Amino acid sequence: MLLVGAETRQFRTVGGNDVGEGEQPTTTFGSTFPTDLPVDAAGALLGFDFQTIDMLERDLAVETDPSNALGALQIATALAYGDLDAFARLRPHFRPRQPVFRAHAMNFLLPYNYQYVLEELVLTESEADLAEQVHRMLNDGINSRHRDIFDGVDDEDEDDE
Amino acid sequence: MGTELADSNYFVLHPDTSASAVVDLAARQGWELTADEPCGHDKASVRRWRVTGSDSDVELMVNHVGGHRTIVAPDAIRDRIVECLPLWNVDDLFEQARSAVDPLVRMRALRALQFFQIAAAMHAAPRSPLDPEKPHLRLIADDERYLAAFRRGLEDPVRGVQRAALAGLCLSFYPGAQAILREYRDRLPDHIETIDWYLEKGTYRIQAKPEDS
Repeated sequence: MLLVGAETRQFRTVGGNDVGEGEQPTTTFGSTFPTDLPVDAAGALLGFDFQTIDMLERDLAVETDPSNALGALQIATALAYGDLDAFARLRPHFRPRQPVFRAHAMNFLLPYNYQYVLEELVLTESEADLAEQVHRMLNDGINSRHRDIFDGVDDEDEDDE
Repeated sequence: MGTELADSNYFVLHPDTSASAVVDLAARQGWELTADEPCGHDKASVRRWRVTGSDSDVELMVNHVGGHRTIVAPDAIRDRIVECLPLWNVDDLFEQARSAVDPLVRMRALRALQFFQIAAAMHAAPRSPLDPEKPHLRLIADDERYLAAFRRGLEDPVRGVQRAALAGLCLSFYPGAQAILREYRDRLPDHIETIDWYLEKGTYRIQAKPEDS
């Protein structure tokens, strides 16, 4: 006997959504969604491009653009949360490249309280200023606080006025 | 489970060994998974199995803050666990903290000992006297093995090793930890605020349970 299952979901807006927010997906995908449909609901209907940690690891292995690599690393770090084995596979991607890359990568660790990773990375951090920043943060303790490696660092792009 | 066991029932997996080695072992042995608690921001994840044909549990704690995977194995299963998995016991960790050339190994050992000392103190608690001034609390005697390891860590030239040792003393149930913190306070200028906070707070205490008496 063949059993066939189907599921129907009804999405209904409940107000509070800016009219026009749904125009972009409607235009881009040639769909006929109401223009006040929230973009996340439209995304669910269209099917987001979900990525797994394995896919991100493969991207990281070949990605040469630092911004793209950081983006992939940030998401992969989130997906690996609590799984030391999965996170161990990401560890090499925290090492190479420029100090600014490493600083951003280390910043990804803070919301997840990966104290031991910061301790281990700073052991071999070659950039003195970055190492000092991380040491200061670890001295204060990152536990229970979502710190930022760039706290207290002057932003060169910031308008001083 | 686990807190009443001695630190000799605690082990850490070698760092290059996956936690799945424990899961695979449990599956091969037919142990029943009885708890599977995810990690929290500052809380380790816990998996617990009931060993087939016994009333013993084996526990795996994955600590994403300290970076270690701890196995708790009661006496009935301890030898089998040691045979099947690459593990370090508490003596291995003391030895690594004392003499490893690689600071990474010293640091990891001290971080694991931070946790092992809690197990040791909890194990000692039921046999420790009540505090005459606060009879709901136990007077835990210092365990010099831990205090010596942490004190030595404070002298380490590597800042991460120092921090691991300092955390061990700050989070200790042993009263002697406070004396060491006091002694080193002015020699550790980066940590004065932390040390003062823990000196002000006082040693962590263990409550006396009615069933202990």
